[in-house]
Amino acid sequence: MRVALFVSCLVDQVWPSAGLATVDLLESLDCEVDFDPRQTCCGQPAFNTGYRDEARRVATHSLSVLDAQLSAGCEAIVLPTGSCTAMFGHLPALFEGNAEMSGQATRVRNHCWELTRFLTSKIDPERIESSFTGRVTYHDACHGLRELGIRDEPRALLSKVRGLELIETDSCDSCCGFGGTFSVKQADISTAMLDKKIEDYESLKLDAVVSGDVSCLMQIEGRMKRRGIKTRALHIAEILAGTSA
Amino acid sequence: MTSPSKQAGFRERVQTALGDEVLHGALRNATDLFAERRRAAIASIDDWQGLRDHARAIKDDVISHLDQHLEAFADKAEARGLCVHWAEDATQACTIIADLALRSNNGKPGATVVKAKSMTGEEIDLNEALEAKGHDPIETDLGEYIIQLAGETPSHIIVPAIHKTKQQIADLFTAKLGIEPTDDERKLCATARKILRTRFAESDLGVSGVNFAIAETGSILVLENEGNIRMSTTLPKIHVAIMGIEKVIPKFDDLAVFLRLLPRSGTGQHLTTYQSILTGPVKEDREGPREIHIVLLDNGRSKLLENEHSKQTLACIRCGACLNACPVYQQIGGHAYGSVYPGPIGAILTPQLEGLAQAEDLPFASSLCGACRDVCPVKIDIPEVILDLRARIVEASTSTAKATHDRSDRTRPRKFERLAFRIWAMTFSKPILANLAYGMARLGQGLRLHRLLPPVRAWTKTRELRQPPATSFRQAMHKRSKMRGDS
Amino acid sequence: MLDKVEASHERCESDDAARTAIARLCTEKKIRSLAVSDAAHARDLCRNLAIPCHQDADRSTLLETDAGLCTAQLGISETGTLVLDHDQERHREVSLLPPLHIAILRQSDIHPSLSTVLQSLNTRGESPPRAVTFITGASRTADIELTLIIGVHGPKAVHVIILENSP
Repeated sequence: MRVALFVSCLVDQVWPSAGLATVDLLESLDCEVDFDPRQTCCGQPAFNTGYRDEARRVATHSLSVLDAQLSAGCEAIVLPTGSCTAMFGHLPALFEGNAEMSGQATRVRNHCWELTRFLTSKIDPERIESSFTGRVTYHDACHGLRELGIRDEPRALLSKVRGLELIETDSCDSCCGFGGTFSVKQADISTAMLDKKIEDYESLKLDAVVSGDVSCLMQIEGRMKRRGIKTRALHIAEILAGTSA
Repeated sequence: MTSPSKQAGFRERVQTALGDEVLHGALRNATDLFAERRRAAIASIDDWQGLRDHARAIKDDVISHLDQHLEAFADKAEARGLCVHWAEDATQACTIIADLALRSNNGKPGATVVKAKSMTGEEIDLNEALEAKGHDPIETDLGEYIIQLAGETPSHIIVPAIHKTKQQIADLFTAKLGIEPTDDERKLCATARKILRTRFAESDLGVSGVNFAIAETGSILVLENEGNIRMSTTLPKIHVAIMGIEKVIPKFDDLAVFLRLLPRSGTGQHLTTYQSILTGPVKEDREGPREIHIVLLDNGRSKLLENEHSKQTLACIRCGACLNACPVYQQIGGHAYGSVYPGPIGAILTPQLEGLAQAEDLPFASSLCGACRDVCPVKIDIPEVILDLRARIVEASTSTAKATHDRSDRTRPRKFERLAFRIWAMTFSKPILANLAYGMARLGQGLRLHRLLPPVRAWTKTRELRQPPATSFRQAMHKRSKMRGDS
Repeated sequence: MLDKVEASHERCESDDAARTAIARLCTEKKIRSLAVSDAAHARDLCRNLAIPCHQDADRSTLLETDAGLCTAQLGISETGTLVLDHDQERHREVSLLPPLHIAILRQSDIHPSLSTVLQSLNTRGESPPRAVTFITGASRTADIELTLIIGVHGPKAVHVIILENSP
């Protein structure tokens, strides 16, 4: 199966191991991964802050790149991020009034798959062979959870990982406080929310916190490091591809 | 009411709240408990999602035909003897109620006005207006009574004194009412009961809110647990109910839907202790006020009807579930919002009622997590409205700044931000520029220049910033494809 | 359902049994005086009480009385709710002011759900009645640290006597 990969600007620049793990994982499952380096950003930072014209401008470019890949034979667009996948869901409405653009946005959106949902829907999860020895908790990133309904998929995948002990916390679906520019514009509230979320991490002696969104992972990792909590932050692709070492 | 000076203090109020350990503990206990109770209560409904859909459909019909439903309600209500008043704004509403207070006391100031909890009453600053006319308004809901004694405003829609510990309340009662120090909440409650009973017995005017007004029958419904609404609407000579115009529902039977949703969402109860359904004043030989009045308050609500995306705000039934679910509210509490309506609903309602410029911090006090949307019994998509308001605020502030050549402190950050996003948009819509920007960012980071940027400083105050690795994803993929000999 | 809302209740198979129950309740709860509504049935059930039983009590009397007794026109089993139609009976204050509220409810007047009760209220006579009160348990608050306190402004206790086999 040939798939286009949209990694997101954060994965690209700040957490490339998540992107590389995604590529490795998909290729090990017989997917042909088509990464078009002309991709930039889904437009969410501007959209969430109220700058819709600017968001449209950047989204227009990303849509044309992805649409071209679909026309060239890619059957799906896979994204190792729930928040960008959700953002592509907003684009048809963002281009309301422009039939051509909203049509293109709809086509692209209809082919977008968040990674864990792609793996559990389009691939047989039994084929994924991976191991990770350690105590792991899963953080449900808000956009993936509440806009896309992704909750079971990552857990189903993690349950197949040999040696991985999944520890659920009550705060698994609490917002980590990232929220895009919120994390810096309301840095104090953001940190207070984060501290509440991770308050049990230390006592649970976790080896890793895993999520499907590197934005959340940056936030959580950044605070754990500042507080001296010795737990790693890993993208789920890194666990599944066995590249977390 | 929110004055501009109140809004200007948002940052200060947030800082105060975040530093308040006692508030923190109180909020944490309360919101955890509410969430648990709500979960248990909704488990008793077979098709909770279907019920929410049904309620939202009713509310959408009301919003789309608000004038028709209000007219129908007013006609039916008047036919049953209810006096209907229309108030465009807070001033009109207060004048109407102050006049009723005067009448209830034989044309003299000094009317004893017993007040049942009403957020709408808070919104119009009714107590101040009544006091200014020489009347004596007494809050009778225990939480509101506590707040009134403390000279504060409520910090939660359902539990006004949620931010106060038992000890703080006990100390307040000792200071203001002269009772013996105690840590027994039942004694505190008994004190309030005794004092308020006297006031109820001598009351001239009773003021209540309205949970639902039914167009089909001209009825109003008020619900409660304490009994103070029954007291306030039974004992005085005149009862006036104040209602936001969006509270009308079409049919009497619709109550079955909302009475299943509201108590469960708000307090985790299957039903609150009392519901009073009043359809006009009672007959001469019956107990109850001789006159019932209703004030239909607009106060900016009809403006909301104009906007397709944000008019769903008017579906709100004031349950408070969004407050309990909101991770931001859990950290900062209600007072930080600086407005009558706090939490997620406050963040979208206040700017729309009072003007975007008056409350522009509120829609940005959200991480857009969507927990509120999940718990809203009428499925208001609060994040969608927040995003809509953010876009409108940005649009308004930059066009105003342009039009007025405003170089003040308020607009400078926004102008800088707009410039930053303009540059960002130009850069990220062209791959060559994007790559250039990435290269420059790496250089800047290597030279530690990034630490000069305010966003980076805000981040690193409390969190380590992840160092971008030497090779980005696209660089790595480029290398891979070269190694494979891909074109 | 009544148990879950801190309302006590008992079933009586006859009016005589109800009379005995009321007398027993008054002794148990140390009721010194009782006020009763204008419902003939309610008054009949109180006719043999040893303690003073006020009929047509005025407000100041009601504020001093230990218990108020009335009938409930309908009940809702789903929620343990009493429905008082104040057009049919003068029981607005007798069910509110005294600290103990005793309600007489016929089994045959109990509906399973809120929906049918609402329909019923909206289809008889002058619909709906001028004043209706739904009562589910005793008055309560959680305004102090969310601790439940029973007995605020309304009655501190409710006791329901469910009459079976009564015409």
